[in-house]
Amino acid sequence: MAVGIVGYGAYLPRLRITKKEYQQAWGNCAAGIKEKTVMDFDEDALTMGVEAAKEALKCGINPEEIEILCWASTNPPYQEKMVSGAAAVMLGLREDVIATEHGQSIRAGSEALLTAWAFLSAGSGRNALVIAADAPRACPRESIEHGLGAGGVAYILGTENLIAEIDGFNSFVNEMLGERFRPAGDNNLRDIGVRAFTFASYNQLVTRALQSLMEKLGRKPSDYNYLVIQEIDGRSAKSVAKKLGFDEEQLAPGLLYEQTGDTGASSALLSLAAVLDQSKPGEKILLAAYGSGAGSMAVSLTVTGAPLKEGRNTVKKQLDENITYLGYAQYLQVKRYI
Amino acid sequence: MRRVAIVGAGQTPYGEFPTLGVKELFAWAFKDMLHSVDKGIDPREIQLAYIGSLSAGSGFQLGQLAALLMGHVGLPHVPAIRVENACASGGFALYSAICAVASGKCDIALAGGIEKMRDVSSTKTKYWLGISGDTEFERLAGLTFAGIYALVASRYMHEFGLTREQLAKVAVKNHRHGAMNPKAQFRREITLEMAVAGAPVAYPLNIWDCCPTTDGAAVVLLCSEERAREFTDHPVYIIGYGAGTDYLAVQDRDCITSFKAARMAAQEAYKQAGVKPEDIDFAEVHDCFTIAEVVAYYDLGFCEKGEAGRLLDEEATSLGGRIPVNVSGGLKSKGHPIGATGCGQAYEVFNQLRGQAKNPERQIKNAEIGLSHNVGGSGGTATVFIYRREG
Amino acid sequence: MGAHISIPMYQRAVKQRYRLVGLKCLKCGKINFPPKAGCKYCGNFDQFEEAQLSGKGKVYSYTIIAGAGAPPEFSEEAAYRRFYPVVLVELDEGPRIVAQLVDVEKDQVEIGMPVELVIRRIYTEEDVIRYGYKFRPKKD
Ligand SMILES: [Zn+2]
Repeated sequence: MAVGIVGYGAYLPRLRITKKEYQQAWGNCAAGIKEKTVMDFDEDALTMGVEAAKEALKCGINPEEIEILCWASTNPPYQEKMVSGAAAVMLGLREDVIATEHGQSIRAGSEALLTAWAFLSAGSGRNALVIAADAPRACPRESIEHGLGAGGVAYILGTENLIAEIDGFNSFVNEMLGERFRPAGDNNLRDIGVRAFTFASYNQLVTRALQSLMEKLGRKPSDYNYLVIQEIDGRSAKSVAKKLGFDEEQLAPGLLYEQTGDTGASSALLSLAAVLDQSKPGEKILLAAYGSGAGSMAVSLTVTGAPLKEGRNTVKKQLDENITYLGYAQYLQVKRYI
Repeated sequence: MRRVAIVGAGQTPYGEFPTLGVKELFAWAFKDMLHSVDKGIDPREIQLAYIGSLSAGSGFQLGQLAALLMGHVGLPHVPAIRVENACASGGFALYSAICAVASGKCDIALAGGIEKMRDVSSTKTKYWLGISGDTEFERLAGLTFAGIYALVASRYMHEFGLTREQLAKVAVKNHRHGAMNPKAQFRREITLEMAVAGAPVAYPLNIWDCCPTTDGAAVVLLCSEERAREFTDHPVYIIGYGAGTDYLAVQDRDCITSFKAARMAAQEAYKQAGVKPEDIDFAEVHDCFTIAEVVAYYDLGFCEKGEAGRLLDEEATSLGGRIPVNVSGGLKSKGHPIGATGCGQAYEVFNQLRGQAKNPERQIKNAEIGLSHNVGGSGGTATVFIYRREG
Repeated sequence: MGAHISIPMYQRAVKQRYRLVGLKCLKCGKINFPPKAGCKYCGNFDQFEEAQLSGKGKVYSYTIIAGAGAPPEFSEEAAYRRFYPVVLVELDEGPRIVAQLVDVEKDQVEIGMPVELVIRRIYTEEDVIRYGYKFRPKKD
C-alpha cells in the first residue's frame, strides 16, 4: 500500500524585516538573509500551524476523516501542554484522533511526517494531518538571532489520490556538543558561535543521511529532480549539495532561507512545499532534515500525479505578495523582546 | 396608579473631588435636596430609597451601598435598594421609586445615584468601566465603550451621510451650554475646529466626542399627588415614565443606528403622558458620546430617521432653538458620574421647569414640559421620563 | 488583572471562539451566534442543533481603536500596533459578530468589505493564552 501526500499547505506570516534593518541597528547582519518572516503580535506556532492546516484541508479531505495528527514545533505556545487539543478544536478534528507531538530539535517536522507515515502504513487510519510550525527565539544581542524567521506548513497523508508517494527514508543520531541548543528553562537559543564547527556537524549528519538513502534505494544524485536540504544559514545547504554532486537547479526551488530566515521545525517541510508547488508527475525529490548537532533524516519522494488544486496559496505567492515591512524597533516589540 | 411629583432635588457639582468619598458626596447631594424643598421636610418622612451605582467606590464593588449611604445621612432604617443598570442606574432608580409611589406602596420615596470615578488611574478605570456591554463577546474583541459607540457612528455615517462636523456640533453645543452651568465638570467652550481634530479614541470618535469620568451624586425626592402640596406649591409631575431593554451586545441587534430600548421607553412615556415629541420644550439626553445624542434625536421622536445631522445644522437643539437639548451641558460637559446621571438629569429638569436653572443665562423661558433620557451601556437598557410643571 | 472573564467562563465558549459553532433553530431554521437558550428569531426554547458557520462575511461597521483607548488586556498589543481595527461582521449565515480585523492597514477598512475568519491570540491572562476568532480581508 502506497502512503503519501494528498494535500499540503504553507503559511508564512506577512510581516518581514530586512537585512538592512539589522545592519542599521547592529552595524552588521550575521545571517545570510535578504529579509525574513516575522509573526504578528497575535500569532504563534499554533495559529500559524492551524492556518497551514486549513490550507492543506482544501484538498478536499474532511476534518472528520483525519485519524492521525502529528504536530511539530520547537516553540509551541506552552512549554508543557499539548497543542493537539487546541488544534483539533480549531480545525474540527475528531476527539479520538491519534495525536503525537514532536519538538526536541528542528528535525521535528520531518519526524512528524514519518510518524504519520508509519501509522498509515500500519493501517492505523486512512488520513493523517502533519503540522509543523515554528518561530525560534534567541537573545537579540546574539548573532544567532539575526537569522530566525517564522512559518508553518501542513501535510495531509493518505493512501489514495497521492500527489507524491514517500518511497524511502532513514534517520541518524549522533552526539555533537555545543550545536544549537536551549538550556532547560530558557527560551533563547544558543550555540558556541564557531561557524566551522557548526558546518562540520551539519555536513557530516546531512551527508550521511542523503548518501545512505540513495545507496539503499540504488539511486544517484542525477536520479533526482529536486534536492531539499534543511537550511540553517545562507550557504551550508549549497555547500553540502555541491559536495554530493547535485547541481544548483536541483537545489534552487527549495531554497527559502534568503527570504524567510530559519523557520525551525517547519523549515524542511516548507521547502518541500515550495518544490511540490512546481513539481510534475514522475519527478523525484530527495529531502534531508537536520536535527541540530544530534540527528538527521532523509526522505525520498516520487511525484505521482494527482493534480494540485488550482489557485492554491503557493509558497512563492506568500513570499512575494501582501508583505508588510517592520522597522527594527517594531520587530523587537512584536517579538516581545522588549 | 397614582400621579407622582418631584418636590425636591439635589446634586453635587460634577467633577473631581479627591477629598470626598461616596458617603460625603451622597450627603452633599442629599443636603442640597433638603434645601430645595420649598416648605421643608423632615427626612424621616422618606419611606423607601433606590440608589443607582455601577461600581461604587472606584470600581471596587461595595455591596449594599444603599444601606451604607442611607445610614450616613441618618436614615439607617429606610428600606434602601441599590440599582445597577450601568449608565442608566440612576434612571432605573428613579423609575423604581416612581413605581413605588404610584402603586401606593409608599407616599414619599427617594431616588438617587452616585459614582466615584476619579480615585483610580485611567488604566484601572478602564478595567471596570468596560464591563457594561457583553464583556465576553464585545470587550474581548478589544472594544471599549467608545469603540462600541464608534461602530454605531460608522454605520450611522454610512447609512445616513452624517458628517464628522455634524458629530462635532454636538460637542460644541453641549460645551457651550455647560460653560454656563456652575455645576458642570468642564466649563469651557470648544470650537468646531478643535472638536473635529481631537486626538483619536476610536475612529470616527475622538476625545471631544467622549464624556469624561466624573465624581458626583444626585438625589430626587418623590411624593404622591395627595401629599405634594405639603412640601411645595410648585411640584413637578412626572406625567410619563418608560423603560426599555434590548440585547446587551450590539452584535445581537438588528439595527444599531437606533436604540430599541430607548424607543420603547420613549413610546411608553409619551403614551402615558398623552403628549407628542413636538410638545416637549427641552430635553436632557444621554450623550455619553456625541453619537449617542445623534441617535437619541430619532429615538425620542425629535426627527425622522437619519435626520439628526440636519437638526444640528439648524441649531434646533441649541439653547434658543426649537427643542433645546442638554442645556445643562449634558454628560459631555456637565460630566457623567455613571450611577448619578439619570437623577442628575431629573434635577436639571426640575429646576428648569421651576425657573430655577443655576445661572439664569441658560434658563429656558416658560418651559412647561421637559424630558430626560438615560441609556445603559450601548443601549442595553434605557429610561425616558416626561415632566410637567403645575402651579 | 483583566476583564474578569474567568478561565472556566472562557472554556465554556471555546467551540464558539475557536471554530464559530452556532446553534441552528430547528423551528425557524435560523442560526443563533453566540448560542442562546431562546431563539433570537422565533423564541423557540427547545429544538436546536449545532451548526458550523463558514467564517465568511462582510464588514457591517467598524472602528479603529487608538492605542491609548484600548482595554487594558489589549494595551501591550495596542502599544505595538498604535491602532487596531475592530469590525462588526455580518456573516454569510446571518449573525453579526464583533472581532478584531487583522492583516490590514487602517485606511483599507471599509463597510461592505469581504472578510474571513482567522484564529489568533486574543489576549493572555493568568498566563493562559486566550485564542479566538478575528477576521482578515478575504483572500481570493
Ligand atoms: Zn427560531
